[in-house]
Formats: sequence, C-alpha cells, structure tokens
Amino acid sequence: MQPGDNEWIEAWTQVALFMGPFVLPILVGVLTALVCRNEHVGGGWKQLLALPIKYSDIFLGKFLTVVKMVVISMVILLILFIGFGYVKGIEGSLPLFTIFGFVLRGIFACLPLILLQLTISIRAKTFGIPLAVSIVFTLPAIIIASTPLGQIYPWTQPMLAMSPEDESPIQSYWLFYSLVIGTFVVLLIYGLRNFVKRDTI
Amino acid sequence: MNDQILMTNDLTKKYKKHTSVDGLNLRIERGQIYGFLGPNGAGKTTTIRMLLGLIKPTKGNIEIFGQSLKKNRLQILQQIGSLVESPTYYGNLTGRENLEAVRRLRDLPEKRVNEVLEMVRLSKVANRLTKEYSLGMKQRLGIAAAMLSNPDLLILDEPTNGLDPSGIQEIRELIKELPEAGMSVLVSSHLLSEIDQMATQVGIINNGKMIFQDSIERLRQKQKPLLKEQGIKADLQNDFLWLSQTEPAFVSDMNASLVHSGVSVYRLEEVKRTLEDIFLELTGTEGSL
Repeated sequence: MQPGDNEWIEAWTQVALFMGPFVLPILVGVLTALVCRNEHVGGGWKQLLALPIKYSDIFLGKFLTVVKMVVISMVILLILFIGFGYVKGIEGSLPLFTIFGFVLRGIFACLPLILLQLTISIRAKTFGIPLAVSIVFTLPAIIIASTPLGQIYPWTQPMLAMSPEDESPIQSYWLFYSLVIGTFVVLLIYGLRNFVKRDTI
Repeated sequence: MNDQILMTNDLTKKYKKHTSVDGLNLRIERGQIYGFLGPNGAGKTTTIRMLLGLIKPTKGNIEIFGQSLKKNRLQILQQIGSLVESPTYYGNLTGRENLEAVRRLRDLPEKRVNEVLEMVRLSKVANRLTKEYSLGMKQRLGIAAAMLSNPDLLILDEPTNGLDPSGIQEIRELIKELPEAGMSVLVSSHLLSEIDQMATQVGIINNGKMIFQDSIERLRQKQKPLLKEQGIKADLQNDFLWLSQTEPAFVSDMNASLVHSGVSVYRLEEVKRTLEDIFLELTGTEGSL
C-alpha cells in the first residue's frame, strides 16, 4: 500500500481478488443450474413449453432471473463489505460511488457467462455437469486473465471488470467492454437458437 | 356434429431408424372425450408432444382449430390446456401459488384460480405446500392448471398414472364433466377399462400405427357372444370345455351327446369376450398390460 491510496479501495482489491476469479463465476454456475433444475426434474420444460409463450421469452426469462439473483448477491456483498469495513475501522472516506461502480461492472461482465452457463444447464439435464464445467473453467481464470485471451474468456471477464484499474492487466477499457458486449451478443444468439431449435428436452 | 377441432394427416416421427409414430390420422370433434389408447411405448406420448409443438414431426401436418400448428403455434396453444405425464411443481409453494404462477404466465383473470381449485375439489388444501400433496392431489392440481385458461381442448397424457383406484375414479368423474363446460378432451391411457368408462370416441395405437378409430359403441359391437376355443385337450384337464358356438340347438345337442357318452355336464355357461380381450387381440400385445 502506497501513501495516498484509499484504504477502502485497497480493501476492495482483496474482496475482488477472491470474489472475481472464484466465487462469482462459480456462483453464476450454481444459480443457472438452479433455475433449470426444477424444469429438468420431472419434465417441467414440457409444461412450460406447452404454454402459449414464445420460446425466446422463456429463455430470456430464465436469463433475467439469474441476473436478478446475481444482483441480489452483489448487493449483499456490498452491504457486508461496507458494514465490516466500518466495524474493522477502515480509515479514510468511503468512495461509495467507486465501489458501487466496481460492483455494477462486475454484474455487467457476468452477463456473457450467465448466458453460456444457462445454455449448458439447459442442455445438460443434470445439476452436476454445468457445475463441473463451471468449476473446471473457473480454476484457470486467474492465469488466463493475464493473457490476451482473458478479455473474451467469460469466466475471467467478471474478475477483470471488478478489479480497481491499477490492479488489472487491462490496457483499454473501451476495448474490454466492447469485447464483453461482443461476447454477450454472440452467446445470446447462440443460446437462443439452441433453445428455440431444440427438438427434445 | 361434424365440427373437427383436431386433425392430423400422415403424422410421422422417426428417431434415427426407429419409427415411433407412423402415418397417424387423428380426428377429434368438438365435445368429444377422445380416448387415446395403446400399450406403453406405442407412441402416445410422442404423438401428444407433437400435438403440443414440443417436438417436430418428421412428416405430416397437424391442424388444430382449423389452423396449422407449424404456423400458428402460439394462437393454438392459447386455447389448449395440457397435462403431459406427471406434472412437477414448485414444492415449496402452495397449490394456489403454483396455479398463480401459471395464471401470471398466461395472463388470465385472477378469479380463475379459485374456480379451477373448486372444479378439481382442491379448495380446502389450496394453501398447503405442494410437496405435502398426495399423488392424486398433484395430478388434480395438474388438471386444474390445464383448465386454468378455460381451454377449448384439453390434452391429458396418462392423467391417472400412478393413482390408486379412488384417485382414478375421481379423475374419471372430473373428465366426464368437462364436455358440459364446453371442453373437448384428448385423454391417453394404456388401460382400456379407463377409456371404456369415460371416452365417447376411441383411437387405438400400436407400434406407432392407428389400428382402430371410431366411437366407443363401435368398439363394443365387436364384443359379440363368442365362446373361445382354447384347445380341448388342455381344458379337459381343468374340467372345462370351451366351445365357439352358442346356438341353443347346437349346445343342447352337444350337451346330450356328452351326457350320453358318459360325461357328466353340471354347468353350461355363455362367456362373453371382454373389451380387454378385443383390445389385446387388436394390439397383439399382452406384456405391457
């Protein structure tokens, strides 16, 4: 820690280091598997798809449900972070908007990953496979983060977005967010097509 | 009465080499309870999934309410209520909450929830968690969900599967009342006795092919008085003799000749074939029943 650094930002770096590369990607894996589980167990998909609702709406509904759960998780994280920060007596003024910005960016960078995990969860029919995929691809995230591939690797994107600038290997944020949006669009089209064209579920 | 609400032409579904449904021509008219009968694995569920657009036919087309299912899936499904195999629920929600979820998805008036709960006689347990429901209650809740939109056509796949006799009876009574509420019903089953007691029209499917489709009366007409020939040698061991003719003259002659030749006949009985026998004869299968 250098003189002049805000203690709160430094504390957040520690949170982001743990949350970004590990907890958040795996949490996304768990939540997406969860919203599909009830449909896989005992043929809920059939009931849902036999209703007069567009397939794409069902897919987007599942997606938004996971987004909502991720948002709630992050809000809880934020509240606990600030709460414990005060309890532990972190010095300096709380840069609420900066921290809030990290959280928002983390959620935003989760979106491609949510789509990808959702597509896998719909296909897989079990709780275990999407979870295994989530863990296997999350583990190397911290290594991949420092390679050029990191910016389009969905399991790494949340971590890159959540870290304060001076801790992140990202050169151009403009490029990074374009890549996140690009990944999102590709995965959205792929996931939707995959779901709408499916024959047996 | 020639008001067809469901019609399939040459409906076929192939899975790789296996043909699950083969050239099916279903015809359902308004107000009918159509019993869709066949042994397990005959293609009933595959057909029903195609009717609901859950899987795509390999060949053939489906018309419901005079519209092509391929082109107007959403409009058609608006007017259909369905129960495909055993339904699942959110176990930690009450029966009423589960119906409320479907109601919101379909954007229906709130009062319908109470109405259908009343219809399936679940009002008393509506506020209990569905994970505490018995199988019969779950099945009735599934039918309630299917009826929520007050559909013109109700498609019920094996609605009595896994129920005990009283549960079966309840569902059967419920289904029989539906045409009065203006609903036509397609109900599948592998049990003839069930279809026999509620259907007005019967379609029998075996190995993916329709082998009988007509009114239940026509099926019953096949139940002529007949004595089964079961091979006299085997029956002699059990003191039974089976004959295929029942003309009084023939039987009395037969009786006389038996008595005269020293065989004591203590009982003559006419045995009608049951619908079950006819069904088995038509499908040629016994194992799955």
